[in-house]
Amino acid sequence: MDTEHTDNNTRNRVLVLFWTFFKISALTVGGGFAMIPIIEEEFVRRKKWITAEDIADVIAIVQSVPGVIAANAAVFIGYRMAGFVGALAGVIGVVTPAFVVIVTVAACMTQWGGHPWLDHAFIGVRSGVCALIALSVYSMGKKIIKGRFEWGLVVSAFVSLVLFRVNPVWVIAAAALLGLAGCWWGIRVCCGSATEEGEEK
Amino acid sequence: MTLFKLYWIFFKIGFFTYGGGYAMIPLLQEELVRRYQLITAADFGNIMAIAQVTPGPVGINAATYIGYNYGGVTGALVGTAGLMVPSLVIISIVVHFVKAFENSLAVKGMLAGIRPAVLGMIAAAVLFFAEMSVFTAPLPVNWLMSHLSGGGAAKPAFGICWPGAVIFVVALVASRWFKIPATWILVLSAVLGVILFGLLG
Repeated sequence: MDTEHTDNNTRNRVLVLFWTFFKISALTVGGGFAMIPIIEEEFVRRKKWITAEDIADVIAIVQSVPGVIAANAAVFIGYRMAGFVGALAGVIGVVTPAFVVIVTVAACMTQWGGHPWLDHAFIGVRSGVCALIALSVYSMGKKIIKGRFEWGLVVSAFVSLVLFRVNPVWVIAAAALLGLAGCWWGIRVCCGSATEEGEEK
Repeated sequence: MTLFKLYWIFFKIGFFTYGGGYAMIPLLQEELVRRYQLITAADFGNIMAIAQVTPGPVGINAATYIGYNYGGVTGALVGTAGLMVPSLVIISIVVHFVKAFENSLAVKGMLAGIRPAVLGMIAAAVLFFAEMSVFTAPLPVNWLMSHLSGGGAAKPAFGICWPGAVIFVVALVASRWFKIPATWILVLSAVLGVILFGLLG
């Protein structure tokens, strides 16, 4: 990983990490995979801090561990470039623009909340979000569902949430155990397939 | 409710979110709306809508907004920190074992179970948004369940909210067939909301 960095000094690298993830967060709306191309541009092509294969690792890892995808990427790259301080700098970079924008919006909402136009606009936006999520369920489904095992899990998770109001935390934990068990008994899937898809949107 | 509780809620959410923004919706809903009743369902829908159209990762936007509403800037900081800490800790560990982690059968097995379950959970989130936009009331789940088990609960009021349904279809078509970016679809949805409800009086 110690390829030719332009600045050898860790403090410089930490600042650059902060600033780059700040820009990435400020410029992407909707989060997640929208920022992968920007990360590639900044860290692979311009700064040459990491290689194209490292990007493949980043994409695989950020989806395989829990958390916000953009923040996971910031921690991963930050840690590799400058250790824990680098990871922290990356996260603070990702969080700051979102934080400033949202606190401003929240303060404005307490001012103007309750205006009928605003309420109507929000019903509109909720309908729109509903449609966007439905479409993303459809396109994710095409990538994730490969047979009865996946269909079974999708339907059980849906039914447990909607009809039985099970806490989603338990759904995730149970699904992880079922996946492990499926892998253990060699029922299907995990060995070989899985991973490399770039879900969402 | 204390700041520590707020921190703990977002820590849990950060720990159990796999696959980014949308996957977080059912978890947030369970903890914030059902369990601790920090916000109403409609406010929660609005926050998720705002998080989609402002720069920055959706999860961070949501944590900041909810934290701010609960405890001002301090609350926003605490909520966001709670969400980020699991990422920081887990990735700081995983980064040392990237290859072993990527090739681990146990990790692949767990993800093979978690991915379809998350898909089912996001499908449930579609219904949740529909309840606050396309339909006039929450789905009569309790009535349905008691009906199925032979009980005779009265059927609650439930119907279609026409402006919401129209916007849903417009957004679906605009995104799927005309490939209009998500941000513009949500802006269009807001404008349509004001116009359609204005026309209906």
